[in-house]
Amino acid sequence: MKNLSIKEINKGLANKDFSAVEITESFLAVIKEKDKEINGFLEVNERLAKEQAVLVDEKIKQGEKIEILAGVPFAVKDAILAEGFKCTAGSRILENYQAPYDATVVKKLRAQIAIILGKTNLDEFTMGSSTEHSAFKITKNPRDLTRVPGGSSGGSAAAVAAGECVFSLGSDTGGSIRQPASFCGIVGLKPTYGAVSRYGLIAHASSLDVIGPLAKNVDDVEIVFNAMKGKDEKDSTSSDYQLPATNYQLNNVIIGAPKEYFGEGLEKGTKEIIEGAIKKAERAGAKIEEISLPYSRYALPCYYIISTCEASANLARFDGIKYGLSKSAENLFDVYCQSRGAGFGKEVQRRIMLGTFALSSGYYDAYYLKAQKVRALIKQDFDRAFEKVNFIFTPVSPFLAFKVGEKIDDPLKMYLSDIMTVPISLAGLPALSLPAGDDNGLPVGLQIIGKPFDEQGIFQIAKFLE
Amino acid sequence: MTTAGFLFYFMLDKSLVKHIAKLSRLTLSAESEERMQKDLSAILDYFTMLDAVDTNGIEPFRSPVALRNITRQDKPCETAVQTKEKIKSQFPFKNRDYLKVKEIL
Repeated sequence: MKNLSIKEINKGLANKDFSAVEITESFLAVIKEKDKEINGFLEVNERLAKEQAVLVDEKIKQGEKIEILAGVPFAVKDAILAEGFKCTAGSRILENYQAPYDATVVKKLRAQIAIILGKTNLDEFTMGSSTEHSAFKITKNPRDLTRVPGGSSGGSAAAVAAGECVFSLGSDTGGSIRQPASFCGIVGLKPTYGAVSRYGLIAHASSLDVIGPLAKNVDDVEIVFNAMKGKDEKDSTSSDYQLPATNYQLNNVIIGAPKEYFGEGLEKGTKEIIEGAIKKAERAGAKIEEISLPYSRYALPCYYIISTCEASANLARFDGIKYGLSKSAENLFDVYCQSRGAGFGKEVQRRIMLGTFALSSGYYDAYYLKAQKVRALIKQDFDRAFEKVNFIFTPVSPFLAFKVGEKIDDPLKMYLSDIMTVPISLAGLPALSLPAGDDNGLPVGLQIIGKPFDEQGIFQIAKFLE
Repeated sequence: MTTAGFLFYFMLDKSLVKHIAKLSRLTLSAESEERMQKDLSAILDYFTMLDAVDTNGIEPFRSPVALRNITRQDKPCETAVQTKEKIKSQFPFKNRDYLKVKEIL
């Protein structure tokens, strides 16, 4: 059952080929069997999952029509609130924090009676590219257990790749859905900034954060995205904006290949596979145009200034006063410092310090303001490119899934994992990671970037290349 | 240090690390301070890459969605009793229904 698509599950349930309880139990069994070595999940709730499945089976028994996601088992990154579960953000500071309400995306999926199996592991507060920065466990890549699954949505990607759930939810600030999808050989979508409500997502960097789906195929990702998108009063950046319907075929599109993304630092095997995917599109009739995105080379420092500044402000709320870990101390100031000193891990502390420094008196113009101006130039590059092309193809990651422990002691080395995903985040664009082939048995993801709110176009093109 | 908005390499000194830790409301061990000094200096050095970009006359890009001061009506909204209970039950220190904090003055 673990290879069924969402549509196949929906059809099978309606035809009574199997029940929602059976589906749910089969995925729970995979988790029991495999998650001891994968470590994708931080929490699984069998009772809650089965209760939901019974509701779906009841509806079918009564002859009621069920929604497309009814009875479909999924997992949620542990930075997204879901009632009935803890929400730890992978951090000691929230180790025992119970989600008091549902994130909007979870509420929408639960309204269809999709089945939440559990919460998945992540880099603490979504800060990292390997899931090794989780305070609780190290998730392994199902394709090679000595390697990382990528991050920060590593648990969500590994759970899908291991067949422990049909789809999962992740969040992407600088590549946290796309890169783990690429490392684990599955499909992951970073939606346009604003396309999906972030209400109930623990904030990392507010001008960049988005929530998106991960699944085994493009069709499943599309179904979940369509179920989650849209305006939400509780997130004022969310939007109902829609582009006019398109009918993209490979023989009526122009695809841009930015030369800056195929140069130095890109592994040979990855380069060949991505160029192969572009050739494949060309043979099917797509027009390929070499383009230039010259400011993308500044995207990484730009991203790490902006994201750490915003994170330092967002994480000020974890103060040991209202919830989470609280250290008792002589005075209020010491309660703050000691709770945060004990509760946050090294990478989170590093980023809070960086952001605090960059925003401090005398440095604001040199760092945050400067980075926002560079961000404008990066965005301008993409705007110009999209005047000529419909989509842009690049690799997701310059290298394959790396070994556990390989980059953990060198923050800059770890940051370089994001070099091809952060420019798209800074520009607020939608992008999909699509498996394009294997190099030495490890998956390589193609990044398909679209115009703002052109997720439907991305899905149409991705299905031709799947 | 910065001059006229330009960045150049410097090793953060210990007292600046301590000052940033204080602004960040973080208690750091001596070992963490040492590590932080090294890591932050290397990362800030990497950030100097942006010096090469001429941003004269460029408007800063703050967010992909241009919004200003979104407010909701100043009316209490309904919150489920169970949500309230869940929030209150997680107060680290409380006095009946109230969140208890250390004295401020």
